[in-house]
Amino acid sequence: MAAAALLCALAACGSAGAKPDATPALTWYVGPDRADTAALARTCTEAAKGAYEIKVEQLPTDVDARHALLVRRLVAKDTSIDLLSLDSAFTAEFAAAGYLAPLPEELKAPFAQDIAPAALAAATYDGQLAVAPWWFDPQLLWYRGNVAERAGLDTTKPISWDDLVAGAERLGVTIQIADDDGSGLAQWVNALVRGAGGTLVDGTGRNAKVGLDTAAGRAAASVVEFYLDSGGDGPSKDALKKFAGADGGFLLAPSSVIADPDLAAVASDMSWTSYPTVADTSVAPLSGVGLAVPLYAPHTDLSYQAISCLTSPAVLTSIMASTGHSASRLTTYDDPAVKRAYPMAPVTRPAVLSGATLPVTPYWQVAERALDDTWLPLRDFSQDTTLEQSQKAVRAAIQGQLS
Amino acid sequence: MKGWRWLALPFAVLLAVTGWPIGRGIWLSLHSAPLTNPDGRTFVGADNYTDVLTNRGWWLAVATTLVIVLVVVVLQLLIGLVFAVALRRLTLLWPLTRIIVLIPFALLAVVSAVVWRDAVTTGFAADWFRLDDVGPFGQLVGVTVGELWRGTGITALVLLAGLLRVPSSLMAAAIADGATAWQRSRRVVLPAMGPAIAVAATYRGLDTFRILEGPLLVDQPGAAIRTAPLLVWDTTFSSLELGLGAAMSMVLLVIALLMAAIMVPLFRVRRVV
Repeated sequence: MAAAALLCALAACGSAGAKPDATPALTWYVGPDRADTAALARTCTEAAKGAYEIKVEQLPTDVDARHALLVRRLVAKDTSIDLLSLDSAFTAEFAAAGYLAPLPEELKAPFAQDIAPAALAAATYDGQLAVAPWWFDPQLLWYRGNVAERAGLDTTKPISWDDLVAGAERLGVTIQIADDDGSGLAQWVNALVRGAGGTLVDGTGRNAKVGLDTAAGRAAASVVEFYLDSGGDGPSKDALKKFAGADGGFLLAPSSVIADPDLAAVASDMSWTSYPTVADTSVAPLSGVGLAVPLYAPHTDLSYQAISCLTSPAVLTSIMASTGHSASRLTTYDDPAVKRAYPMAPVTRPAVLSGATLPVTPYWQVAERALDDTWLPLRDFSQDTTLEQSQKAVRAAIQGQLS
Repeated sequence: MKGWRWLALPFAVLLAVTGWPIGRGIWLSLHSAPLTNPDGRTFVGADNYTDVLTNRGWWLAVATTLVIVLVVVVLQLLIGLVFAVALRRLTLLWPLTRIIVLIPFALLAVVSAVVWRDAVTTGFAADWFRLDDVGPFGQLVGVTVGELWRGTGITALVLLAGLLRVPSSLMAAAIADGATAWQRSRRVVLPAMGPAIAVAATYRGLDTFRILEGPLLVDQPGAAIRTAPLLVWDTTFSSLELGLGAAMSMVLLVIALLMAAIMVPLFRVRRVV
């Protein structure tokens, strides 16, 4: 009888996988973004009319943990990931490692259509589009009530870091810098260096140039030092809560924070303008997500169908209107629904065009770790020593050496 | 030489299970091998070794690790000896008590590391000693105490085994000869315990040398103090530089061999019994 039960169990087990009318489930791994991925998965599951069903799995919030988890799974040829919300900062590395299924030729043109150039560049490695660009958020300068006016800042023109820091210090309010996943410092430094006319990491190979010991690097470091000397905390995970707190005044954060529950109490009182400048133009940190299919995903065709659905105008419109994430496809900004529910567009659209993405190189993660390791803790930051150490450490990391 | 025939197979198996991974490690250590960039893989000869051996941070980490080993092993031997003496006298429920001292060792190292980190940040140690934010160094001390706590029980049992080797007839003879307590422990107990002390010190020393879980748990960007195994972990599993990580492991292996080569003769007490 026990044997019969066992046989039965085996038989049931065998037939469950082979049932001809079972809907294939696509497992979609998403990062810590503010998009309502469960709802988007439902929308596309319904639109597929039984062709597939999307299940959402959450990746770790911390950027290093997320990177480690994905690398371990992908290098082990894990077949349980069908769809991946891939950080734009990982794209070059994963494409170089051969972790991603090549995009079908016929989909490259539709996926790349009307995409912001920076988002497209971040989604491309070695001349090939590696992922479908999805959303790409610029950071903005958020402020509460009339605090900008009281600090003597003219929000109709680009505000310089020096004016911002001095104004905030005079008013006794803080400038918070959001860091959702641990990559905040690198994004900040990268944008400052780019804003000063330099490049943090230039090149994709082992011999990439590191631009911290240049004039632009020093300009960026002096902004950081000025900000820290005025009592700034630097990028932090509780920046949003502190901004909503008693002495909160300014916040540097992506467009999507508008939907963040931590800011619910002050959201109606928040205004925004473009990211502060180092030189003449505003260069905002840009970061986003592309949709990718891992090389060993079992239902590649269905995964691409799902990506086509998730990058469709209707879905992109709903992301922008309901969560404040900024779609990579610029035509989405023109949708009437977006115009009604996404009032940041006059600032974010130019920001996406002028902003700075993290360097597109397979060695970005090691560079970022070396940068964090030399700049943190920020209370020990000094323009004279940190910059030199950091330049050496980042360069050694990219070259694959100990620093 | 007839015995060789029977030993050949186990010997071959032993050689295969140790030689193969170490050989692969050595081969890998001669390459620059970024895991996520297979195109970047090149043969670099001894470059990785030059990089490691000339790196200040690496030797600092090695020195940190050796200091931890020294402190932990000495304390474990002392506390373990006290425990062993007490355990020998304890006749009530003795099998149970000897198992109880092993319980900390039965915990995963990472569990004891978490417990001890929390003890100094929010738990009992913070409470008793009124510790305010202990910082990364305080946390490292906390997890090192955790390592000490974890290994003391097993050290005590190894030393107890040595203590039980002291023949009672020899002890009686020493007393009859009028030896003082100090003379008895130095001339009779210690030599008889010698092999046990050597085993305990070498085993705990090499085991503590690969301390990873605690330092990994309390590590944060910009940390001033890191242990050598943590650097190997970081290089291999976070920076994904497999070749460099393999070279570092090989250097650690050589250091471990050196430690053993020093400790084994050092503790080889002349047999007087």
